[in-house]
Amino acid sequence: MTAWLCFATAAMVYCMTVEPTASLWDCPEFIACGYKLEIGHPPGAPFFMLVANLFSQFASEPSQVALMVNILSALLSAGCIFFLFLTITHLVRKLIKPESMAKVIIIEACGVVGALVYTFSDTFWFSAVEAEVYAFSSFLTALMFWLILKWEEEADGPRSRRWIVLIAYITGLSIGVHLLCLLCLPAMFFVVWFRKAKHRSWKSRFRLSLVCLFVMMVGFSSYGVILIRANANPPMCEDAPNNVERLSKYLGREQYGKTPLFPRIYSQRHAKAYADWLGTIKTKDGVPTKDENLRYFISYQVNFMYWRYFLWNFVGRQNNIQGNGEVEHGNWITGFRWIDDWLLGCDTSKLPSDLRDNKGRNVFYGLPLLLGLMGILWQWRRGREGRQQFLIVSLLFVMTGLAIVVYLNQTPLQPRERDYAYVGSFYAYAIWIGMGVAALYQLFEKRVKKHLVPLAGIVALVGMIVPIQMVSQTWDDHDRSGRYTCRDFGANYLESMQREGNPVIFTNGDNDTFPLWYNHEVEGVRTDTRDCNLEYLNTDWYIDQMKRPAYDSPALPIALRHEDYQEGRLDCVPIDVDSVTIGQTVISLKDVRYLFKNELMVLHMLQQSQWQRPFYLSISTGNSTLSFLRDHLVLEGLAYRISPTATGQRVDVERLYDNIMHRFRYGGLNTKGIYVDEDVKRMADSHQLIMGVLIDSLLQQGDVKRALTVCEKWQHEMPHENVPFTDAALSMARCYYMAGQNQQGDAITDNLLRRSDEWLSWIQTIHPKRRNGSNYSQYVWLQTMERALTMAAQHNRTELFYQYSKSYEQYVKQYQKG
Amino acid sequence: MNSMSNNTKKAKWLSFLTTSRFIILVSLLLIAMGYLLMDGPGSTEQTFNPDIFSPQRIVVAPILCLAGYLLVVVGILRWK
Repeated sequence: MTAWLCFATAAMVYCMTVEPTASLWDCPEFIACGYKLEIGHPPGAPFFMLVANLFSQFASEPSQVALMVNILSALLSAGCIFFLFLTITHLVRKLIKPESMAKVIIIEACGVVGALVYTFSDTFWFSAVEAEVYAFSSFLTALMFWLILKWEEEADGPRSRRWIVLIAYITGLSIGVHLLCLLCLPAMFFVVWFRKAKHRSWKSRFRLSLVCLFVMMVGFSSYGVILIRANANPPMCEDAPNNVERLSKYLGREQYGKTPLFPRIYSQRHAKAYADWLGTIKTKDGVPTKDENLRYFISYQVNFMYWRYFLWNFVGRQNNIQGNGEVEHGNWITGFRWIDDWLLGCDTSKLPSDLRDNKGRNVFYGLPLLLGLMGILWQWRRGREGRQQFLIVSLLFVMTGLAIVVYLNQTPLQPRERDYAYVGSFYAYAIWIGMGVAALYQLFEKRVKKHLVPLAGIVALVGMIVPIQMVSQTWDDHDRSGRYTCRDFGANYLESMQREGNPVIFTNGDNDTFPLWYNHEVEGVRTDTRDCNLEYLNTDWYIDQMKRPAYDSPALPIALRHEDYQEGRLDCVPIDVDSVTIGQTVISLKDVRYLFKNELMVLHMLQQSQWQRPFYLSISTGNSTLSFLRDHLVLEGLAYRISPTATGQRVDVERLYDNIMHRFRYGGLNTKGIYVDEDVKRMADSHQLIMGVLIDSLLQQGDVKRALTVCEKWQHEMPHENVPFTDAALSMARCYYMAGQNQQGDAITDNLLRRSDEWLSWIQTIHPKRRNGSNYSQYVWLQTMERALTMAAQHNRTELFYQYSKSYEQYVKQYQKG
Repeated sequence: MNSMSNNTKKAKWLSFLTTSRFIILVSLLLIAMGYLLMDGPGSTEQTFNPDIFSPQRIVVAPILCLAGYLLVVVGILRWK
């Protein structure tokens, strides 16, 4: 009964905060894979696809599909909470017999507090409101762990074996969701070991293993979906696992290459990043010494990439901006000023408002951690049974936490925070947090002796303070309701392209590719266009796919045969010509010594199409991507058109204006209280950037009137309360000044000056030893401040100028001193 | 004689075919049927084949498969 209450609470919270459409990173891909049974990135998730497909059937129209798949995550997460409650109460009940009313109350309270702390914890909540496989894998882990306890309860009974068979079956199925689930098996093995069930004959054991193997294979057979669908050649078919050999490669994630277990410092590509992290690296015979490997393992992989995440969840999190070790981003904090000042080496009372008001700033004062430690101690001291339990939960904790750290062997500079991978170990810790309530009760029980029922009630209520305090902190940065940014921004990339000629856009990475796929595959937006991912274009299977038409987009102009570009051929070709000529246009290759397969393919396609088919390059690709085309680009929206006539980078003002004013949508960024996290902010900043360019271009043409309408659009669609101005907003300030609307111009200039001032004065409080990491922030804000001051000076805003110029000079001096 | 062996065969078959095994057999059939319905011609370099997204292949087939996979659980729980 209480378990269902926990389920209902979690389900309600998650459904209220669920994202109403696709989310960033892999989510758009998973939604498309579920809805239309296409093939996502290795190793695939066929069973997830089947269940997501069922949920997508409840959508009344394609735009609702994402919501339905998100709700699947929300419900599965609530199911995980349900089993967490049952698991905690099961374990506690074995340590204190529920013989009195007081004890019954305490057992239930343990379950509720543990389950709710986990419900409201940062990492688990994050995965609960988006279409990722982590909610599903958490559910299966919780289910399997509970099933083994169920077996333990009736192990001597005649029908206990069915629980073992069921676990074997779910193990098979779980491979079709995420391999993470398998990590709870060692802990389960010890449950069986300690139980010492009634001896069975070898024959019956053998029979049981055969049955288990059989059902496991049945569960695993969901990979049939991948094999069969890959043979249908759907538009999205990563790694093309269309035969058994390719499928086994797909399962082995060979696309990503192999990571060794040793040494810990191994990646040539990241040599500089390792050095940046460690300072100087001592080497012997040209390779880092064992000590240095160990230092890296402890300081980066274990402390920074595991314990930091653990402490986010149970102590506090500084903000939602990805950290790479600097003082200002992504650290764990306690909420007690003097501790945090000491931890971070800065004066946290002077935090810039950007960081102070960051919704990802959550402090729990270490209460959940403390409760968990008490739970561990209590469990350990409950005799033999308690110590056995401790071993089992610890094994779950370590296998789903530190063991993954050892296995992954991560390099520095990960593309995103990786806390989601360790959600299983946070689950194990939540079990101990629940037990903390029993520990608290025991502390007072001996002293009070009488009135145990009211005491139990009071302890239960005190325990409840912990999850309630947590949700007061974590709600605002997990409430994704009203947010349509991923869908709309993905569509904006597609809408940036012209209507005629079946254009193609080159993109890079995840967040400028998967949202486009989602728009194509699920909502059917601009299916006349094609997304071509430059990273995949290095592989033969992807080039094969580009040679096939998809929806209304004809095949890309590739005349090469598979044998010409198959793996191992054209991977990297030395270049000895100065230029290539396509039609009348000369593309210079002067400083190019090598071309990779993807660059060759781009040149080949341009050559083949002879400028007949429009090609675009997403603005989110860096300057080093297709650098030889940089002089032939025309900005038209979130993408440049590769143009035969352009010289230097130019702007097509009319098209840009039309896109920004009429075609683009802004994902509800003007909704009051909408949650803008780091990734959404970054994509919104891309829009700020092109809006700034558009305003500048219009002003250059003397078209102040239309420039003003762009400013209006900007302020209306992306108000700075939700999307803080970047220095691109100075274009807007200039426009206001030129139109004589000084007050509005000042509002922007002042905003940027004030925030720069806040940042730079705070950075001064950082301990000199740690200030190096903040050099970049310091540089960026100095530049912003300088630009804003120049703007103020140019337009005779003397008051504003003198208000900040003194402190600016001081900051510059300090920066130059280093 | 003949009918006797027929009867024992029948009895043997019946004792083999417990409720649990019967349910699992049915679910395996459902899964197999799902995969059969999912299969079909694909797109080629010449044409995009919209049939790869026909209701039979991306609605009926996966639902049959999923029903099969879930029914296995029922079968296992019935196991004696």
